[in-house]
Amino acid sequence: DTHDVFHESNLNEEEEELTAEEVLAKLQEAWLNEKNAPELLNPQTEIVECLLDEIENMEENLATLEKGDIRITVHKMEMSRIKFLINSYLRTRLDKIQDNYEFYSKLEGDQRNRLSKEESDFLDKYKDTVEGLFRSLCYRHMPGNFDWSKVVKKIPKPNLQSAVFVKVENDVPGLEIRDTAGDGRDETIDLGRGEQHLLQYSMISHLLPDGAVSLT
Amino acid sequence: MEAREYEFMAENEKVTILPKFNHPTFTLIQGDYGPFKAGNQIEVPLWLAVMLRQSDKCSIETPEWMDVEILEKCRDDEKEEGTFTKLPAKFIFEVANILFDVTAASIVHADQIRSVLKEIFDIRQSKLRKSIDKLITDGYLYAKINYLQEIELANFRPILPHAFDYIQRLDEATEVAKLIVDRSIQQSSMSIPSSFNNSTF
Repeated sequence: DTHDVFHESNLNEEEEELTAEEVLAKLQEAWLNEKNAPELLNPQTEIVECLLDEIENMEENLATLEKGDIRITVHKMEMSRIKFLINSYLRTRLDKIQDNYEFYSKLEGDQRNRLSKEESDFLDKYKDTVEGLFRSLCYRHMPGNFDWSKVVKKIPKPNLQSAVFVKVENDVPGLEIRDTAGDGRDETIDLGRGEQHLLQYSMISHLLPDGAVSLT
Repeated sequence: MEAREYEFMAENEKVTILPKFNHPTFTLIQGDYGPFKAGNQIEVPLWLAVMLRQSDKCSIETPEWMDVEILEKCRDDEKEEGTFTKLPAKFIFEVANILFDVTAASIVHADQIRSVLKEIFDIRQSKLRKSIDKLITDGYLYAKINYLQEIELANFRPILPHAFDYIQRLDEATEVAKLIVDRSIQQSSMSIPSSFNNSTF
């Protein structure tokens, strides 16, 4: 039995032309960024779906092997590691959505792309559930003709100025650090490849999508 | 981020093993490893090495950097330098920890290595504490922290970014308060000349 059953499962992804190994590395990077960023980042749905496909293929292949084959334990171990990454990534995103559900539900058009289709549905249901709860718990007991929808609320937003630890992947010359307290501490610094810094998130958020920096 | 999650990442690092069995290549999603031939060294990810070791299918070779002399030199460099030195391996503390758990018996001078690593960790932690103190008291807006391993930051993680953030907020509030006070002083001093003009006509 020399033909390795698992050769077929290493598909070439036509859309991305990356090996499965590279996709996995991208997922780990996306996971780290998502865990450390204060706001919701762009969803990496293609990466997640690609890996879920690979896992499914692997499971089908494993079913054809006889019990006790060492390959089963090894592949199963790897699959649980990948499943852990995917789980943690998706859960972190859902936590962020729940923490700031009002803010994210007010996003329009292009900005709504921050949420995947499933996350969008989740957000709508969550918003309805929570507001239904508030309504039945206290709004309807408010005296007089109190109409909550006429109240102009200040909506809590994710704190974009929180400090994050940043790892520099590509050189970034001339990054502007603005002093938000207006104390005149503005500076322009250069970020060199391989360095690590502590910075405010808002100063580097534009560098994240291309991968010039990553959060650690 | 918890320490366990750093260990998870450390488990992807490559180590050399000596397998006790023969097997063709494993085509894992994260890459191809093999073929395994008993007695021939091969590089695999740490998690795989640990799994094989625990089912007694291989022995793990001690990494090059896990040597008393090399680590003692690192420790002495660390004591001399004001900033952080480059450590010989990524995830050095996590990998060492995992190897001690799984295969301490086969590591030469395991106890000495353990204590030198701890010394290195402690020296770096105290350096980190001092520089964070300086960061906060001198009011810097950013900091360069090269060669710091992720897990060393883990001790400071909930507090440091949070404190940094709050200090920024207090600074901003102070600025706003200053502006309001300045403006109200200006307004009260402006009303005097206008009444003066009226009285001359």
